[in-house]
Amino acid sequence: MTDTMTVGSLNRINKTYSRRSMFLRRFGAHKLAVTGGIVLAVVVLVALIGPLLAGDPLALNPSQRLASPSFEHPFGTDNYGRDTFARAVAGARVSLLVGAVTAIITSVLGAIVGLFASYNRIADAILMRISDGLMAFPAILLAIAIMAAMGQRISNVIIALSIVFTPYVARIVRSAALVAKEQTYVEALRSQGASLFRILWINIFPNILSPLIIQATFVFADSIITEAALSFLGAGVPPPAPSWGNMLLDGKTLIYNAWWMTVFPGAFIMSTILAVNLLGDGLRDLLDPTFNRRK
Amino acid sequence: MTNLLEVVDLRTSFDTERGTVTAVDGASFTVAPGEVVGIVGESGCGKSVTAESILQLLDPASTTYSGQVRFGGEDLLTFGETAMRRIRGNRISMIFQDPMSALNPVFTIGDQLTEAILAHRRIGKQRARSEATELLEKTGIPEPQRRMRQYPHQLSGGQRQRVMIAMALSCDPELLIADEPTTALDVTTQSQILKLLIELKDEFDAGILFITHDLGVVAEICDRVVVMYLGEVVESANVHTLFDSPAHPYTRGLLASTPDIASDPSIDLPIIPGTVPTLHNVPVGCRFADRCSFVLPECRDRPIDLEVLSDGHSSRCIRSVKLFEDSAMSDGVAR
Ligand SMILES: Nc1ncnc2c1ncn2[C@@H]1O[C@H](COP(=O)(O)OP(=O)(O)OP(=O)(O)O)[C@@H](O)[C@H]1O
Ligand code: SF4
Ligand SMILES: [Mg+2]
Repeated sequence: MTDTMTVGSLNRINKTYSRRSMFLRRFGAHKLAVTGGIVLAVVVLVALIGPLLAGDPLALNPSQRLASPSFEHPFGTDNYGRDTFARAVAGARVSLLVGAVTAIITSVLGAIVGLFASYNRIADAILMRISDGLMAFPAILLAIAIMAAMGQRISNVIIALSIVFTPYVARIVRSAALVAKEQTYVEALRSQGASLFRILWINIFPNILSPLIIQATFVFADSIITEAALSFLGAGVPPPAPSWGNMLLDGKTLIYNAWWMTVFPGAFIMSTILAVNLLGDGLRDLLDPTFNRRK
Repeated sequence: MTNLLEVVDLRTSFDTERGTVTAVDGASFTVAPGEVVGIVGESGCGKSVTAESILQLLDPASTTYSGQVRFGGEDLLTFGETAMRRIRGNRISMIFQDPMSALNPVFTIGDQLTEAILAHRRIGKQRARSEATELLEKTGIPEPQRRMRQYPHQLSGGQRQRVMIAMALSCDPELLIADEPTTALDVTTQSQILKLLIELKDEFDAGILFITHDLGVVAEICDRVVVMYLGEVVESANVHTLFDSPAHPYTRGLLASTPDIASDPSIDLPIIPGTVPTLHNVPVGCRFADRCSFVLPECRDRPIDLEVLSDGHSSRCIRSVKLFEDSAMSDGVAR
């Protein structure tokens, strides 16, 4: 199924070698995408093995309050004497988890809603009006409202972000499917007695996979930012569990005394978002059939 | 011989932003088993809509059908979507003009053919695949084994059209609807595909409804011809009658403007003057009146009926009997 990733570029590629190797070769040549991929891989690695190296992110140590970066505490400590490095690394797990799970949920929901809307006018009218309504709110306000209604839990953060971002994905999928639907092969399939299910999921779905993958990377980045913003506003991941956002919140009042409390989580957020966006941009270039790579 | 397909007074209208348009207005014709019936006419006269109405492929939200599409003793227009799905691709198949986009770019030829077979028949995947390969072989594609594993973009237009034909024949249909299947192909490929269709028709004993705007193609393969103009059938006849003694001025115009068929190739081909009116302002009287060189004032008064001239030959023109008698000496279009 990986073959279907380059679907869009198909018509241009009139060569016989496999589309997968073609894609990998072009990806390798795309410096920004490669950079984004490497940085993201490092962050993921840190999130995975970091907690084994760093100490307990929740361990209080009153004698070591607000210690500046040292060999023992490379990122310093916070106002409870907790190790900032351990907390940032634990926060990476939270952020990546929230980003990845939200990206997966919105992709699945967005694909279902978008494809269905592309095929049924009544469903389209209803679903698109609902999504217009959701999109009319600034994402962060809507997320705060949902969190306020459901209570502060990581799972609720994911649910709130999924509600916020699904309409964006559904729109992209819908418009891609509307284009695919106009192709003669869809009419040909109908003339062969294909069911709606077979047309939508077996035949149109692979043709919308590239925009969906690209959109998923942006949702991934946006949910990390939005989660950080929510936590910063005190409506996200509840303390004492660390997240990059609530670490910024904790550091805010002490920024003149202990810059390390904000700079390190801030740097993590920035580099992760940058990496994911680079990757997403790169994928867009690589998967877009109308994109002609310059020499 | 009983007819395979009987279209009776078919009327297909669309709701559009500018009101309702009737793209097919009271079309009637028949197709017998083993017969090739051509539908000809200029672009926009309703040929494709007629074909799509038979299978009810048009958007149900904006399309209204009336009349009858009798097939196998039943009226297909009374069938719902589920019942139609059992007809489509199974008892009636269709091939399309554009072989470039009629196949899904993301699947191999083999997958698509196998899928089409499995959609209507309860057989194992392995068997479906081997039948698919056999079908491809029948359509004369070189190296069918290898083609099965290829993607549509790796095939030429002619080869893709052969794949479409294989797909259309995969469930041994009784009727094949071909909507300009050779228009996008070069002349050599075109005649190969036509030959293939005829061979396969005989082998499968199917009737064919063949849509084209090319009278040269009609002469090559059709037994009977239905000429359409602005949604109406204006003449229908046996292919020999149509070419030897066309009765409707529009048919004569089409014949005179077709190379190879026009009597004297040295003369510049006359073209039918003017353009087809739009469906939004259909004339009250004869729809062809504005472009007809035989027009009389009474032509514009009221709708013209389809008149039977002889067995199996009818024409929608108040002067056709007269013209029909003269046609042996006339050279086509009045100048
Ligand atoms: N979905 C639709 N809604 C409104 N009008 C339509 C629709 N589909 C077709 N028409 C109109 O119906 C008329 C007949 O179209 P049709 O496609 O049958 O022409 P055609 O004879 O097949 O022409 P061509 O040779 O170009 O394929 C045209 O005027 C077209 O604009
Ligand atoms: S009815 Fe009159 S206008 Fe129409 S085709 Fe015949 S002669 Fe021409
Ligand atoms: Mg057409």
